[in-house]
Amino acid sequence: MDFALSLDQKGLGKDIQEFSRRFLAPIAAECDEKQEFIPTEIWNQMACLGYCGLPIPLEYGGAGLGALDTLICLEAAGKGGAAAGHLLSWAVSTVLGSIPIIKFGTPEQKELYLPRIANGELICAFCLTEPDAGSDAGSIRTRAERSGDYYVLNGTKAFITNGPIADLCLIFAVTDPDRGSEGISAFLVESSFPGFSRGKQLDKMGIRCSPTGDLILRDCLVPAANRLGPEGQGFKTVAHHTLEWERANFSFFLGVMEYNLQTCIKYARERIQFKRPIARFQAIRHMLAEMRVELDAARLMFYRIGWMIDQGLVPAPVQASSAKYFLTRALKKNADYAVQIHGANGMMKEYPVERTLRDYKIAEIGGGTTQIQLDIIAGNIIKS
Amino acid sequence: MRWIVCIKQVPDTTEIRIDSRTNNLVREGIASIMNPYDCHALEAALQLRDQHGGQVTVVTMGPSQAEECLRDALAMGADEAVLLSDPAFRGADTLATSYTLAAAIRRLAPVQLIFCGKQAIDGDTAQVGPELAEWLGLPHIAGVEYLVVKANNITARREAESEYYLVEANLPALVTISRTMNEPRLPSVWGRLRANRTPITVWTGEDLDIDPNRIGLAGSPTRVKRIFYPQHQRQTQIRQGNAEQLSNWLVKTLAEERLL
Ligand SMILES: Cc1cc2nc3c(=O)[nH]c(=O)nc-3n(C[C@H](O)[C@H](O)[C@@H](O)COP(=O)(O)OP(=O)(O)OC[C@H]3O[C@@H](n4cnc5c(N)ncnc54)[C@H](O)[C@@H]3O)c2cc1C
Ligand SMILES: Cc1cc2nc3c(=O)[nH]c(=O)nc-3n(C[C@H](O)[C@H](O)[C@H](O)COP(=O)(O)OP(=O)(O)OC[C@H]3O[C@@H](n4cnc5c(N)ncnc54)[C@H](O)[C@@H]3O)c2cc1C
Repeated sequence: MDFALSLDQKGLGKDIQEFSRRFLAPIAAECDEKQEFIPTEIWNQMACLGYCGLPIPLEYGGAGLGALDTLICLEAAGKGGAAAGHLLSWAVSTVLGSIPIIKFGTPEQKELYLPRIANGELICAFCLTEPDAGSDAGSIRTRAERSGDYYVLNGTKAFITNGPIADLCLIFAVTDPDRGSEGISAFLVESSFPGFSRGKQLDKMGIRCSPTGDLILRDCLVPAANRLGPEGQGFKTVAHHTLEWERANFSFFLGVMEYNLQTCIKYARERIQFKRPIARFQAIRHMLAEMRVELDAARLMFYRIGWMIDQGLVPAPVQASSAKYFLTRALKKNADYAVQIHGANGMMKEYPVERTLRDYKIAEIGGGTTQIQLDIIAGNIIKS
Repeated sequence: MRWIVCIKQVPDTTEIRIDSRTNNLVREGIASIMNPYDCHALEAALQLRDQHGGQVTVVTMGPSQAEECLRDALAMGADEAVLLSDPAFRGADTLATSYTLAAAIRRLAPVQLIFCGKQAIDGDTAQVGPELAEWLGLPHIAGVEYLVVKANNITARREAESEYYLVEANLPALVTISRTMNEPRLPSVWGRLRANRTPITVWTGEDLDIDPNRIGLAGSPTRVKRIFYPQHQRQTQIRQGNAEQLSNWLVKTLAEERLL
C-alpha cells in the first residue's frame, strides 16, 4: 500500500491551490454576499488551464484525469481559500456534467458535448430532485413521452445546482410510469430547447456562491438522440453508476477544512489572551488536534473512493456513503470549531471562517442526506 | 534560437533558519519554491519565444531537489531543463555560481538572450546576473521592467530609484528581470502533466569545461561571516497639545534622532 501522492498529484494540487489563492479566494466574500457565481473571465481562465475538463478524456479536449487525481484537484481548490459554493458549482458542472456522458454517451453525444464542457462553453446541471421527490428520488414524476423523433418533457425539477445558469441539463424523467424506478430515463436537455424555462435563483443561508433554482419543462422538445443510455435505465444505470463520483465530488470540502485549520492555527498563535497566545491553551490545542485528525480520516476515505473508481472496484456504495457521511461530520465540527477559535471575530464576515458554518449544511443535504447515507450503509451491511 | 532562463530554488518562508556553525541556510525540512523573480524572468522568456520562435531552456545549479523548480518551469511552458548538480558545486558564492552557470551556458550556445531574476529572495545580492554576463563577455541590462527584441537588438527599460533608463544592446545579451515586468502564467493541467514526463538533463562538473578551483566553496572568495536578524525597536510616545506645540516637538525630536 502506497500513501504517497504521485508527482502529477502533487504538481496539479500545487497549481490549482495557487490558482484558487490568486483568483477565487479574493472574490469569495463578495460573491457570497451577492449570491454570485464565478465571473466569466475567471471561468474562461479555468477552462484554458484545463480545470473545466478534469475527467474528460484528452481526445475530447479534457485533461484526461482519473477519479483520484480529479478529487485531489477539487480538494486543492478548497485549500486555496475559494468559496465552497463556487467549488460545488464547478464540480457539479465539470464532473457530474461529464461523467454520465463519458460512461453512457453515444460517440455523437460525446463529440457534441464533451469538448464544449471542457472549453468552458457549457455549464452543466444534474437534475433529479423534484418538489415531491427528494430523498425518494425514484418517485419522480416529470414525464417524457415519445413523439416521433422527439421526447416531450413535462414537469418541474427543484433545488438544482447551476439551475439558473446551466446550458446543459441532465434531466431524469419517467418514460414508463408502470415500471417505477425502472421506467425512468435520462435526457441531455439544452437550455435553448423549446419548452425549457427556469425559476428564479433561490435565496439561501449558505453555499450562496452556487446558484440554485428550479427548472420548468412545459412540452419541452428533446431530440430522441439526446436520451442518455437505454430507455428505462436512467435511474438504475445512469444515476446509480454515477453515485461514487457524486460522493467524491464533495472532496472540495476537504480543502475547505484544511484552509480553515491553517487559518485557525495562524490565528491561535497570534491572538493573545491572559498574556499568552491562545494556542497555548489546551482547550484550543485539542480543538485544533481534533480538526486535524478528522480531516485526515475523511481525506483517506475520499482517496479510497477515488482509488476504487480508478481500479474499477465499483459499485462501492458502503465506502462512498461512508466517506460522505464522515466528511459531513468532520466538516460540521471543523466549521464550528473554526468560529469558536476565532471568538467574536469568527462570527464576523470580515473573517473567512463563518462562511463554512453556513456552507457545510449542503454536505448534509445535497447528493443524499446524512440519514440516507446511513440507510444505504445499513442496508448494505445488514442486507435486509 | 535559444532563450535561457537561470532559476534558483529558494526556501518558501520568511522565517529562514541559519546554521550557526557554517552560516549557511538550513534547507532541510523547508518547502522550496522557484525564486519569485525568476518566475517573472521565465514569463518574459516564454512571451519572447511565443513571439519570435525558438526554445526556452531553464538552468539551475543546486542539489537534486532543485529538480522541483525545473518541473515548475517546464509546467509553465519551458521546453527543456538543465540541472547543474555536483557535490563539488556546494557552498558557492555569487562568483563561483556565476562561473559555473557561464560554463553551462557556453555548452548551450548559440543563445539569443539570457534571463535572470533581478535578485534571489534568500541570498539577495543581485550579483549573479551581472557577473554571469561578465564571464560570458556579454552586455547586460539589470532590473528590467519592459523590453522589446527586434532583429539583433534589445531595447529595455530598467528601473532606478526615481527615474528609469532606456537601454539598447546587441544580442546576445543578458537581462535581469524586475517583478513589476509581468504577471507570470500558471501552469495548465496539460502543461503540468507534460512537465512530469519531460526528462531533465543533469550535468556535473565533469560535463563542463571548468577549473575545479573556481567552483563551490573552493572557488568562493566570499565568506558569509555572520547572518543575523536586525533588531527592530519600537518606542511609542503619546503627547497632547495644540498643533503648534506638537509640530515643534516633533521637528525637534526628529532632528535629535538625526532623522531630519
Ligand atoms: C543570507 C545569505 C547571504 C549571502 N550573502 C552572500 C554575499 O554577500 N556574497 C556572496 O558571494 N554570496 C552570498 N551568499 C551566497 C549566495 O546566495 C549564493 O551562493 C549564490 O549562489 C547566489 O547568490 P544570490 O542568492 O544572492 O543570487 P542573486 O544574485 O540575488 O540572484 C539573481 C539571479 O541569479 C540567478 N541565480 C542565482 N543563483 C542561481 C543558481 N544557483 N542557479 C541558477 N541561477 C541562479 C537567478 O536568476 C537569480 O534570480 C549568501 C547566501 C545567503 C543565504
Ligand atoms: C443547495 C442545494 C443544491 C441542490 N442541488 C441539487 C442538484 O443539483 N440536483 C438535484 O437533483 N438535487 C439537488 N438538491 C436537492 C437535494 O438532493 C435534496 O434536497 C435531497 O436529496 C433531500 O431531499 P428533500 O430536500 O426533498 O428532503 P426530504 O427527502 O423531504 O427529507 C427531509 C428529511 O427527512 C429525512 N428522510 C427522508 N427520507 C428518509 C428515510 N427514508 N429515512 C430517514 N430519514 C429520511 C431526510 O434525511 C431529511 O432530514 C439540492 C439541494 C440543495 C439544498
